[in-house]
Amino acid sequence: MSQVIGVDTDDVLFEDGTVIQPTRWAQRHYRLYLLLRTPSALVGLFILLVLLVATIIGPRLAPYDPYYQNFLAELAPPSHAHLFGTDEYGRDIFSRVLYGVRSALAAGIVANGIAMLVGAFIGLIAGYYGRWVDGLLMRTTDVMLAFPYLLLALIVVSILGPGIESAVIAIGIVYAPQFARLTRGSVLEAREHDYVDAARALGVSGPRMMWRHILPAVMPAVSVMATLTVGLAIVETAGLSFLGLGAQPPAADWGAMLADGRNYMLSAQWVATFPGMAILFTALGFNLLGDALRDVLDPRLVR
Amino acid sequence: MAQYIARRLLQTIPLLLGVTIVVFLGMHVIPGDAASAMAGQGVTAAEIQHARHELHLDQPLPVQYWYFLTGAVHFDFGSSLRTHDSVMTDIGQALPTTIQLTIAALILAIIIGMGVGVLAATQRGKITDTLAMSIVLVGVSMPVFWTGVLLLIYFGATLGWFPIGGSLDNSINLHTITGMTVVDSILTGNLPALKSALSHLVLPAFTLSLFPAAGIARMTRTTMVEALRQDYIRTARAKGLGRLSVVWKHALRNALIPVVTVIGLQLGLLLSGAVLTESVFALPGIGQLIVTSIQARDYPVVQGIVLIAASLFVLVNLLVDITYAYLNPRIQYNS
Repeated sequence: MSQVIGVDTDDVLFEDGTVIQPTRWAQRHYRLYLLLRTPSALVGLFILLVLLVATIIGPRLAPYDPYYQNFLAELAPPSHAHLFGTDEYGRDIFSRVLYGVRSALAAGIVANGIAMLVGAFIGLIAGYYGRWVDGLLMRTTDVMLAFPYLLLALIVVSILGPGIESAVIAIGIVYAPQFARLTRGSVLEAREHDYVDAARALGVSGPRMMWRHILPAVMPAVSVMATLTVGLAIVETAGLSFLGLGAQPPAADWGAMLADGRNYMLSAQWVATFPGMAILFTALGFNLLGDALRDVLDPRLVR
Repeated sequence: MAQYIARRLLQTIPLLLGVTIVVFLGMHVIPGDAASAMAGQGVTAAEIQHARHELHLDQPLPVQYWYFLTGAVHFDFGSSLRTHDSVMTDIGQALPTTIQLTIAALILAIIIGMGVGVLAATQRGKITDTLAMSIVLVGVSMPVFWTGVLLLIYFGATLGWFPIGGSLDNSINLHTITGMTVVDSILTGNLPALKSALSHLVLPAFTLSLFPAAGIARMTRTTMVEALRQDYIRTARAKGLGRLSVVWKHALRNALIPVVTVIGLQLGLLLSGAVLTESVFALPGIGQLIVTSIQARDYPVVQGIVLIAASLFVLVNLLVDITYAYLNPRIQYNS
């Protein structure tokens, strides 16, 4: 589909010259409307829907207990009985991949949540108080950004000790500086608004001002960024698990399963193939939706 | 320009100090200090006390930091709790592998990324463009550790075209000069070693290059589409210059500056991706070393690697900034 280049109150103009007249619903929710007209966004949404369904009813769909070891079917290739084959303990890989959706989504969302909370808090304080508080906090985030991201995550994991909780916290801390910068920028912008002056004139200040008047103005930008980073957070938490520093065996975690599959690369390729495909599928879903969202929410596209 | 470089150099000093503080404090909060770990079992309290004194652990925190900082400036991070070598020796042996891998991946990423980007831009809106950009999207979404395992399975194990890990065949004897296998075999004129080194490098470098290549391809496409629309391109074509020459010489040169920025941004990702890639291909680089060290709770090595890698990263970014300023005549040196 061609790129949208302009939106009028009545018409949406596309780059290739097509003009469409949206319905009233589309006029009111035109960004959502544009999003739903983007094929890649729909594919992304579809993938996320599949993941959501897998999260909710996955355990019911799974033909086996993901931890059940069937020593009569070790490293069995994909078949009717075992759709994705089995691993070295005879565990059903399809069931383990299905259970892994929960672990992956939870890890990505919690890590992202930590990044958002910590980052938004720092950015809010820095942007609102300015001066030396701002200087100190922003120099600190500069230092955090001076580390290649995986190394920063590795420092955190080595302090907390390997484990899925440490990996999630580590990825959360790695992303926090980016949220802090974004929030600070939006706060500086929001502070200039008349309603903030009005609130100040009424005697509102400090935490109440930040919480009630500035934060709501900042949230849209922060939540968009959060959508864009969930996919990355999932892949990177899986990366830490792959290195043996995140989820530990026997957890049904895609990164850990992939690391395990590496040992059977020559004889049983399916052990590594399917968890990897699951990570790719998930990342693709978030990236498709994220890219489309970024285009649609581009502020240059104003009614 | 000289003034700009000097100012950027000065700006990196507080940044590097900040990095040392983060690393120092990070390692300080780990429960159980280096002395008790080093002392091992069956030693008396007096001996541990002695070790603590030796390592300055009985001093106040700022004093300890001072010792740490002066040590770091001399590349002295103590000795590994695992191998008992000096940390710098261990890192020195591993670093060349990582540098070689990263540079090879960067070169591949630039070639693949710019090639795909230019192709997509010239074929804009056609099937080639759509196809190229879909592949790029998959490239962005592929976790580097899975790409590596897949390539190993198919090109290593199944087809047998490439070795399945390591950096050199066991039968090959290579005199170490730089520690980078490819460079060393060229320097010593050792052809069998060069062949072996290259065949061990192809898959990991390709694996590591895909993610940055995708980023470079996207940026190249965007800036090329913009550049191809300019009047001077039409002028060049009207003058009778060939299509290829116009695309590669006129348009690409002017589209290059944002691409250089993206290449700079990819460096941090490359260093991070190298850790995962080394783990997949069993390459003895600093990525492998840091993972083993974390698992063995060998904190001096972890500390040393993080500090060296972060400093390298800061310096490389500085270089990128300077290159960028040099390439872009519009940048203000004295703002």
